[in-house]
Amino acid sequence: MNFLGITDPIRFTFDIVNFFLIYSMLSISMNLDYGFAGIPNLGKVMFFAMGSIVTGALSLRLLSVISGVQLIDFVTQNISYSMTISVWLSQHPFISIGVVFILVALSAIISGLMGLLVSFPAIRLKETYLAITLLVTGELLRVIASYYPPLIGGTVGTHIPDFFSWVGIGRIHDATLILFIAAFTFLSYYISRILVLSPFGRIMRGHRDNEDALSSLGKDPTYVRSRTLFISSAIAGIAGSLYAIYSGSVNASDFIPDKTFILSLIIVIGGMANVNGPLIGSFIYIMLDRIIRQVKFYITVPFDVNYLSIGIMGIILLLFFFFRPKGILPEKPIILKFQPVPKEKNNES
Amino acid sequence: MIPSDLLMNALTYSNMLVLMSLGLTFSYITLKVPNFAQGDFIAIGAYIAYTSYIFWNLHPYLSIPSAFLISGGISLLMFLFIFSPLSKKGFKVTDLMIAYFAAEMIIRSALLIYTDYMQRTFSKYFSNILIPLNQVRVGDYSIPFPLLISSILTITILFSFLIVLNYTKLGISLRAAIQNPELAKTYGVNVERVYAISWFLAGGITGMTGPVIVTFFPTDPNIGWTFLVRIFAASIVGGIDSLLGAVIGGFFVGISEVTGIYVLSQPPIGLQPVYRVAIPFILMIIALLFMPRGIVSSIDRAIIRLREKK
Repeated sequence: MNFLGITDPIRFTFDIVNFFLIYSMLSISMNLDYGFAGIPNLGKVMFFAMGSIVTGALSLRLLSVISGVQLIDFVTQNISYSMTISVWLSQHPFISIGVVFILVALSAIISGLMGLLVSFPAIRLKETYLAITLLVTGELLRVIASYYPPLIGGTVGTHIPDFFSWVGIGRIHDATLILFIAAFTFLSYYISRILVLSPFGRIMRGHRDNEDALSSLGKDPTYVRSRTLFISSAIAGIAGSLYAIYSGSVNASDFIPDKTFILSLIIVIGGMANVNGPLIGSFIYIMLDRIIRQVKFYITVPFDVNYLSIGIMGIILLLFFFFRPKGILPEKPIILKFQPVPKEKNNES
Repeated sequence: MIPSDLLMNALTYSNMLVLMSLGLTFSYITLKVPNFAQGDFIAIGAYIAYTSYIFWNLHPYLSIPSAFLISGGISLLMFLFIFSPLSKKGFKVTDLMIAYFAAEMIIRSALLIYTDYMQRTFSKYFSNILIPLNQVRVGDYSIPFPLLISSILTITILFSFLIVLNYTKLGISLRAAIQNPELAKTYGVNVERVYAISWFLAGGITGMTGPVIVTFFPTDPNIGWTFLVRIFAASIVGGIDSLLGAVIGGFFVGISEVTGIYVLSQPPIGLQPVYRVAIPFILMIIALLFMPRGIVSSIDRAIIRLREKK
């Protein structure tokens, strides 16, 4: 069976669902920064990259200590080591689960701390400086990851052992992996929901709408920015780690700034500062992207269709800005469930 | 001891960084948003030069005027049809930055499609292009052609700006519109037209470096990103909203990057040359930490303080 170049429809669906989950997590993180707090995080891909790098650099090294498989030449031989360790892991389900949770947690913490660290030089400055610093730092991380082989194998990338080899092989394995990722996506959705409805969520919106008014009410904008960046970067780090675990490899060429742009596109399509916006936006983006990729089986053009994709995404974003700037799901006004009752003045005379 | 080849290289590189950051400053001072598409004008200029070199055998430096006009025109169209309407609609700086990002993607996508199409249709090499040029002999010295042309370009542009900004009506209205748009409007300055001119210059000056870059540096459609990091670093170090700052920052960052990586890649440290992008980055972080408004405004403040003490 070969329909539109899809040989295995179930596998194809799994891939789409996985991309949807990863992009949802990343855009939830972007929505916290850009939608709610108004921080132009143009280096979002850096935190995603950090999660992937932590997972890629540590998974084999950690497991080699536990399993006793010697890593003699990490850079060139990592594919055979990851195969050996995958076989070993299929006999040790508890170690697999333990290590995978440690890796995801480490990715979250390191990315979050990186968010704090990166925001430090520019955090007291205007948003343009913050955006430039984040963008440039992301590029620097990509350059280091591509040209420093011991980290994640340089330009060829590194492989990650299969942590779910104990489940079995085939569909059931993929389904377990998807469920594992879905659990984290749900968790990050839930965190963003709680955060946005909390008093801190209102401070975040205040920071976005009027920084001066916020500081006049005694809230420090610097504190809002660093805290938001910590939480959102941790979520992005988890997404990066899960992406690396799903695809079984890490490659520095994935961390181009275009990813950040795609995330802002998702936010703009779905609806800025709406908790459900990232989900709708990711769904539409994934569908659009897949349609553009499948179209090349119908039409013949004298160039690579993938190059057209980023241009179309740019045009879509501008069209949304011009004709529907609030996105598909507009931001909801804040309604407090428990309106604070004004105190009656007793000593009125 | 730093060899003279390296110094010439550093000078060419800095000349070009100066022009690029001048371009960034011209677009920044209008809407106060850094233009992420600034780097792509280099690629546009480079491909104009390369295409005319391949098809009409034109010397790459003869394409400098057409590169100036075409990339300036694209920049002007971007301003008139995208950014000016968006900023009038009341979009904030954060949203405008995303819109700039979108424009950058559209330009880059068009460039990638163009190169891919040309490569497939004419079977000529179109990505990672470099036009080799001979050296020019001036008296007893031989000077690389890119150095000569980039120096001439930089000096001409700086002098013409000096004259235009200080002694013509256009330049004075430009400065007025940038310093205080409302006040300039009440004096009858057409602020919109002044901004449009500024955007045309922004694209044009950066695009002009393309034909020089293509003879000096292997170029592909993604070169915009490679240079964007340096442009931002140069602008921030010098002061992003000042034209003098762009000049100082460009020379400072360019010379320290080329000579710095040479010193660092020598035996005691032995750093790989691919990490050269770290030098502008570190300079930028230092500038953000200690003089966030750039060298020029720090010097200005120091002068004011000295005067007050007297």
